[in-house]
Amino acid sequence: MALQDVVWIITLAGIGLVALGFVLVILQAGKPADDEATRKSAHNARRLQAWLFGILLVGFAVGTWATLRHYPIPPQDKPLDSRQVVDVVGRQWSWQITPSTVEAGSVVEFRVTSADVNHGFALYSPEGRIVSQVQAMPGYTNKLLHTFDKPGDYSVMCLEYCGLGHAPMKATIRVVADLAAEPAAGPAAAAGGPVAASGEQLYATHCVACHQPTGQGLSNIYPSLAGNAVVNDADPTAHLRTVLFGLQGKTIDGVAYPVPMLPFVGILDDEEIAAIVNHERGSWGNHGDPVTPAQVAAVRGAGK
Amino acid sequence: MASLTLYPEEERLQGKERLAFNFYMISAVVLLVLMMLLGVTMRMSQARWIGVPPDWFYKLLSMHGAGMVGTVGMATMGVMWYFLRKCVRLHLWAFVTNYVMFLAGALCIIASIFLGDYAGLWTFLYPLPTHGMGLWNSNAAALFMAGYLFIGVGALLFYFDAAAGIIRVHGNLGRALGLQWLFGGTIDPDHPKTVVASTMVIISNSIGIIVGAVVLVMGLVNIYYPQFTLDALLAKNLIYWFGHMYINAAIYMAVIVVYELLPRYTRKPYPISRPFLWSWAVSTVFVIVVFPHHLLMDYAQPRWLSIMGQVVSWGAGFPVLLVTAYGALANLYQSNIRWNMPSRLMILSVFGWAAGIIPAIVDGTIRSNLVLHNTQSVPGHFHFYLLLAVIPMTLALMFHVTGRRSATQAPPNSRADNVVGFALLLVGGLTLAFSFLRGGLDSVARRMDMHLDAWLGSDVAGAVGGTLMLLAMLYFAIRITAGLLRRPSAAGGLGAGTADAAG
Repeated sequence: MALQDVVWIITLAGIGLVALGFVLVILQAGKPADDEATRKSAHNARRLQAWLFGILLVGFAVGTWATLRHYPIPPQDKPLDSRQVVDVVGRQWSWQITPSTVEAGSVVEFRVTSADVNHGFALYSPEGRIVSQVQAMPGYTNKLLHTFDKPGDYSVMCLEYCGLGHAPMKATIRVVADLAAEPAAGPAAAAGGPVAASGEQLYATHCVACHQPTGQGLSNIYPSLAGNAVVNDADPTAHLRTVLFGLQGKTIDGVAYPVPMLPFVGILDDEEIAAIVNHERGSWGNHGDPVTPAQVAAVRGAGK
Repeated sequence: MASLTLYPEEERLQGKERLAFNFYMISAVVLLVLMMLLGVTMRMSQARWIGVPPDWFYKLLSMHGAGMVGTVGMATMGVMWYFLRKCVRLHLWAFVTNYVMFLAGALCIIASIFLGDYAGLWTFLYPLPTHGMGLWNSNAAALFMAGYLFIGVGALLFYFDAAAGIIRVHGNLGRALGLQWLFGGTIDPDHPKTVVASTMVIISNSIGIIVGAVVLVMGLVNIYYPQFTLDALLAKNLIYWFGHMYINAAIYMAVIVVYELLPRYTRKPYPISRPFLWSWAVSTVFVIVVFPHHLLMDYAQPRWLSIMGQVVSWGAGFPVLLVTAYGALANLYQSNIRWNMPSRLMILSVFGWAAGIIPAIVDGTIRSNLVLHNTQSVPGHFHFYLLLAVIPMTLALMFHVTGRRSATQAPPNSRADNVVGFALLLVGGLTLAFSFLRGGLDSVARRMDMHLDAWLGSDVAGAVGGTLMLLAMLYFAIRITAGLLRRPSAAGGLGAGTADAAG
């Protein structure tokens, strides 16, 4: 039984008991007692109160022992010596997870921090339930240990409000049965190397918070990529420069966009930026020519 | 021992006092309706009944959070003032200044959100206020924080005036809390429960507000001198230390209504006792040190603080269940209570508090935080408290006072009140609270505009429950505003009568 189910049963049972107590007393509320009965019921009430105190005290002691006997948070001030280590950096509004493929059945150490504001790193099972979480706080690296029971795609969602792009700030961690048998994301991923991902996946991780799944952006805040002149330009230089070095204060179709666009030059490599840009240039009715990692490298090399 | 007279003469509101009380309460019910409207709008958007763009969603969420906490705080200070003024001398100017400062702060907050586009939520969690990513700028964040400072200064003024009044009568705050009777001695049966509860709130919430002022000022300095940076963990501790005590103080002020009014409606004495004094003494400490339960998923937090957060969260259930809820039920048992709006609301409110403590204890547990932290389980437990405990307690006083001003000078008890108001409040409040709790079970994230398809069930239930609650509050707001604005009845009748004549 999942922890959520245990908690739900405790909650319903507790609220139910309280409600039962109220109903029983309310049913007696319209039956006034004489002085003798009042004295007797007051005496009984004190005894019942003492019993309740004892029951609650036992519940308190047993519950505290049961929930804290094995402290559920690993020590933060000493090395955990885990075989699998995943570095996680949250930023407005994307996750940088290295590597993003891990093995089921053995413990994974997540080292979680933030590059800007507070975020919440929550792992959702393929069935859509949280399996564990930790806060991502600027200036601190929180170490979370988790063992995935079974392979599958686990979602990462941000559970600490971090601004406008909070809801779409998602990522995926792939859990496999045998990491060594995974050719695409095996040893390289385990060593912290690049993991192949499609342009659509990368867009969903890094861009969707602002530009939205439809590419339409948000009116007067984040510009639309659908039908955008830069995205559809035969010369991709401006598009690549925007993704690599960011942008602020641009006026598009008469609308000034004050919100800064994050530079990805230090976050994504040439292959990843090419994949994202090609996804943008080929989606939502756009018809920009595809780009190659070499073109990205050339723009990167030319500098800001 | 407190009198069982339904409308004692010393509670009569006259002249400027009546005007000030009316401003507090009518502002409260109007603001509650407006803030609930924002809440329902967000639940409807999550349920996909309407479309709210993300920038507006988070602005509404910021307004809803700050507005609800501020309104409930202001209204329950009105409750405390109403009963405490007959026990000690309070200065009306302090009470009025608190209201004016609240309005000034509220205007700053409204301007920062709707003119400055601030959407950093009521928790202003450092360093988010300076990271609006173009949606809001630093000046908007500063205005929001300045609004809090105005409200905090007003509240401190009110508390310090109350503290001075209490000390003048009881010598010091310890004696007002009844600490001298914890281990023995004959308890003065006339020692007012209102004084005990007010003293606890003055001690804890004054500390909370001062802590809040420290982190607000540090945040303001950081906004204009970015080279002055804060430690994010320290700032978060300070913010939740302040925030938790501020919202907790509301229920401890509101429960004075139950201590004062319930025995008048049951016509059964509700004497002060040693367990009562122990519960308030312990609660004073618990409220001050329980805040680390907000940081259970901040693993960098010292372990002893997190353990303290869990242990104290669990311990906080003892005074609520064993003393307040149990005491109210013992008072109700075989009492031949006359059911009317104030008494119904009071019993509901005690149930809401006692039942709401269950999910609160769950949310205060480190292990369950691994799967529940920042899910809708958290708004589940505090909506339980606020909708089904704090608001009914406050409404009970308002209805009680409107009864004194009615032609019959009896507490209201119309069929419309019961069917339209009370039933909608009960069903709507429970539906909304359980929609959040169920959302926590299903790992539905809180504070999120776009929801997954799998989360729609609890969202729809929340939208329905919220709408019912809004309708109930709208009805109550109209009834109470009309009742409070009625000209006071002449002395006599039930104004000087007893509960026997009421109902």
